[in-house]
Amino acid sequence: MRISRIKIENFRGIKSGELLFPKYAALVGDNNSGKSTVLEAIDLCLGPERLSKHPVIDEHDFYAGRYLDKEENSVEIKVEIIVTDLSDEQKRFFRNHIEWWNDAEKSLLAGPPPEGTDAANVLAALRVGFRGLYNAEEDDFEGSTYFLSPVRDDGELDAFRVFDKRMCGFLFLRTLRTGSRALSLERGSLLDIILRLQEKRLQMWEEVLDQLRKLPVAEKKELGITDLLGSIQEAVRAFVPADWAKNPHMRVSDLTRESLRRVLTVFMATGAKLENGSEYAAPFQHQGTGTVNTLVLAMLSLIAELKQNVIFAMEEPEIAIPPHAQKRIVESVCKKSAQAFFTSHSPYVLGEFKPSQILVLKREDGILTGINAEYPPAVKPKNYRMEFRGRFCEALLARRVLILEGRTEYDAFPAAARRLNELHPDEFKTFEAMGIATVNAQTDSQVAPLGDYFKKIGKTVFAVFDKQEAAQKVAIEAAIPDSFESPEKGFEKLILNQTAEAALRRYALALVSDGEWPAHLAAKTPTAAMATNDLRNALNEYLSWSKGEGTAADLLGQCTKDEMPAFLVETLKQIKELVEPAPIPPVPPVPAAPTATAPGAPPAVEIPSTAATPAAS
Amino acid sequence: MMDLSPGKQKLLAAAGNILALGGPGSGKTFIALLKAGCELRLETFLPRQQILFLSFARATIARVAQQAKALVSVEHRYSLDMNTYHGFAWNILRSHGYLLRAGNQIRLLPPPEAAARLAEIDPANREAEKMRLFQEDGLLHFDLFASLTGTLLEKSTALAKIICDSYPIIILDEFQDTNAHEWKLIQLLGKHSRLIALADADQRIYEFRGADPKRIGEFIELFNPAKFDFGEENNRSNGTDIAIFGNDLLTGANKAKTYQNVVILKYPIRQGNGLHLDVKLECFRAAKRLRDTGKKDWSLAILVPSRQLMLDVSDVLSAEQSLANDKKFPALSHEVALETNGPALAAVIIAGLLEGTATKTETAHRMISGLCGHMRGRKGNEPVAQGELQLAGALGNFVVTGSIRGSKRKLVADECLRVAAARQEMQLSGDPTDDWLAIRKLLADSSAQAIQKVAEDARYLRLLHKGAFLGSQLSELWRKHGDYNGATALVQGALLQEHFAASTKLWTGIHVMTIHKSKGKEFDEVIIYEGSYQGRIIRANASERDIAQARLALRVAVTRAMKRTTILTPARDACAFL
Repeated sequence: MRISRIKIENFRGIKSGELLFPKYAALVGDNNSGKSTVLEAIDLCLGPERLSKHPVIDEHDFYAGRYLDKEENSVEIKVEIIVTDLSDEQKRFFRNHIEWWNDAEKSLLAGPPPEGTDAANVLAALRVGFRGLYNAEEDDFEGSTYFLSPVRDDGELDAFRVFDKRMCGFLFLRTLRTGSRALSLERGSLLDIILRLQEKRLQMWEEVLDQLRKLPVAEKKELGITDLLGSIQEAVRAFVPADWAKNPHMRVSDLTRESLRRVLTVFMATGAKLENGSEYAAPFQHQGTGTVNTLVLAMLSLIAELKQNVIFAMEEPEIAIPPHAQKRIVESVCKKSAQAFFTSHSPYVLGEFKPSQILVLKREDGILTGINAEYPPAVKPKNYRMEFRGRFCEALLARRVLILEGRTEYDAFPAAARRLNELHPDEFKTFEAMGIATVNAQTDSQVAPLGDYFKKIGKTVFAVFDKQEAAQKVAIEAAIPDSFESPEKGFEKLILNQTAEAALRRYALALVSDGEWPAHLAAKTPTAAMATNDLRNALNEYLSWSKGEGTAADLLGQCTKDEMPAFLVETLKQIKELVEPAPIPPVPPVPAAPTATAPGAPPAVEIPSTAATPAAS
Repeated sequence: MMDLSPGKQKLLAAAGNILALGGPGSGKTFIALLKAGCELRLETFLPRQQILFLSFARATIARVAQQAKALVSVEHRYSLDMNTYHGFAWNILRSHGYLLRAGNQIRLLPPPEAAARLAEIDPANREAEKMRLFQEDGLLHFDLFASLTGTLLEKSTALAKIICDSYPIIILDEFQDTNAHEWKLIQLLGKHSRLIALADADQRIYEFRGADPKRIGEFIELFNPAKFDFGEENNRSNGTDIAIFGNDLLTGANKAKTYQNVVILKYPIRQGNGLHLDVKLECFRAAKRLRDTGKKDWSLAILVPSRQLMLDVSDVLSAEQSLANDKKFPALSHEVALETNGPALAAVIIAGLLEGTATKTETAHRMISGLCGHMRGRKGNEPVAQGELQLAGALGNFVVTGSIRGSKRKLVADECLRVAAARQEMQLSGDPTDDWLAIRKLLADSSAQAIQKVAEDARYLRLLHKGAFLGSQLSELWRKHGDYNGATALVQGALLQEHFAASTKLWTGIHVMTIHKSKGKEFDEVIIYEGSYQGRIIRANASERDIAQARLALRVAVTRAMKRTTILTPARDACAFL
């Protein structure tokens, strides 16, 4: 079973959105692009334990917190999921709710002819959904899951129940839950799931409850509790017959499965030894995060083995786990599951996915879209993994991308931005603060293709390039409107020609005094008295020699704004303005024209809507 | 558990398709369920695979479900899916019918509404009209269930595979009564699933709906089943002559013989209050006999040839009679297996009036369209009198044009307007029972016969056992909104349910029903009662074919009994079969 499509309406940051899923998918996008929301939406529909949470949804789950529209009607949260690749057992079980999905056209069969179900690429599919709304009569939020086909005569839908959801085998591991809940017995924890799969729960509960019911508590006479209770009994006798309030004693209270779920947990040795030589054990969540997460992964494998056809969704499996283990997780989870989703910021995790399996999410004005990444231009599949980690991963995760022509620019631009932000925080921002990732195009001919590539997957793209032939320049500007052409033919030249002489000299002398001036350039060792041209030549040779080591970045990192090349400063300034346009100065208020309000009508008063609860962040 | 005959033991071991023949009470259902249990114990089924048991009547399903409890172990009970042919087909069409027609959602055409819509269509064109209603309006007539499901499974191999994979074994109860469409559907299912057909060639009483004497032969030819004939066995009325009497009826051999546990009584001519008292007396006697056996859940059926006689007998049972010798016949509580068309259509009219509209004209128009439906559909598939059809047409026209010709017709239209106006004046109390009765009285007091008939039919609504349910639902409407808006939809929904809900009603106590309705049921005792003039077993001017059908029907009725059958026939003109 796998999820082929999801549609979301009015859920959290998503006003509306539709995504198509491959068999294995890494969801990427910058923070707040809706990755977690998508997984939460799937969980609302398919998570067997999700609806037992009360309330199922709250006001913050509605888009912009608005659960009533302007006419005070309920706004509905809607999630619709299409699952395909049903096993034979699932087809039998869900036979009255099956529809038909054309996997090539990515759409459901809508009507005749019936022979359509037998066509190639057409799969049996199940369409289920979640509906959540504010019920004014009950003054509460409610939500339920349904089979969306067929619609009954009375217009209602058949309920999609916990039992049905278990048949679907969707398992969602939230970042937070992963650590603290895996080995507890709370509903939906990994241990709980495993026990259910092995059908061992019932016996276990009965046995534990039985033991606890009999467990004597504080009955030793020297503790004094028994005596105390005895005297209470005596005191009661003064008021009521003797067979009332007989034989008081202490026992563990609240012996229900529900309360046991909360208090029982797995203990593990900590490595610390007690005086008697035994090892001190602590609840598992007191173990190191890495240990816990590794445990979680082992349990996941176990679940996948016990239950065929499972769909895993995992948030950030990389947390507190070393790179080699991250790769193992992804590999093993993918191997054992029918479908798997990950959200991740880890290059090691993302590197395990082919570009077609990377779903880049983008959200604009609440509209969520997802685009499958492709192989970047001029990158061969066999080099992809290495190139990916080094060059593209960061850009995939960012909202904005700045394409730079070569290695030196790639180092220097972020350094310059950082430096300017340090000196003039009001005027400049770092790339990190603006959500800009830099990409090294490696050659000027790749700037335009890369621009196309990133635009296609929904990024805002900027580019900086050296002075070009006219034709090339037109091509780049066509691909990337927000691009900046340097006045010089090489970046080193730009630095040497446009940086203030004082800064160049200061940097050169520091190199010499720190003993970093290379021996083979000893003949050209800069001095305080060196002629400006000689100094530039010497630095030119030095920069060429040390290309790739970030020396240009070093130099810029020591400049003041006035000393830096004007092109650089101007470019950074413009990029900032494109990212964060300066607020338009307020228009001075115009005296209000006399309105057409009838005399005697109450003045229009703006009433703040009660529905406007602040949106979840 | 009874000892199994060698034939039945062989059936339990048989692989492949199976045909089990046998007369009433020969234990076909029993052995089929036992076979189902055996197959399930083999553990060859994959998860979520089931055995499907199909029958015609919901009552049969309820009885078989009871029987299954004793024959199939608890862990396998989920694996036995019991349904009517209709229910099975509707499940498929409801889910997948959109593959047959584009457009709005498919809606069931309840039998009363269907009868109303088809009343004016020439019988030769009715099939085409049913199809048109489905294709164009998405209204699904019950008669199309099997043929459309067949078409769907024939064209969508993928769907057929899923259905057959879900049911590796399908048991076909009352196979002899399947019509051509059902047979085609069965053939499709038989391509992938094993079929176990249960049949009694002599019990075929559904010829009016397309059952065919050739059916059993066709099954043998196509599916080459292992054949078993339990014709000589009798488990229902073991130790009695009931089954023998039933078989002798077919040849006429019964006339010269007497039988254990089959009693024929000839009653004298009765008039006025004495009418139907003989059957009531027999009823008391039979009930006493059954009580004396000490059996707790005893059942007694009074089977009659016609619907009208059924209602008349029911009225007599319900009332208290004073006898000449100062004794009294108390009321006898019983259930009536009523045809539901008339009461259902009447209930919809009353619900519409309860709901009311903004203006009295609108209310009247709504009532008139309900009234037309009632006139056309109250008799089910039976032909409607020409006069009534014309009246319905004229009333329909009246709604559009506002004019109507003919004093009698005008009276009906005027009465509708008057009733609507009276309804508009009426203060509803919020107590659904009171309000319902008030509306019914309004109709009953009308001087137009067509409107009186609505009130008349509405009286029988109690016999549908929907009173409590409707009462609470209507109360809920009133509580929420202070009016009965939505009542019509509610009543329609409740009555439609009746056609599918696998009612688990147990057949205990006294039941009055027509002979046709008794098919597939069994009772401790059966009283067969025919009237002196109306409601004869062989109706006046019957053709050869009618007589043959009547003979089969009487045999079915006789063999419903496990302990004793009593037949009451008028002494003046006793039934020719006896």
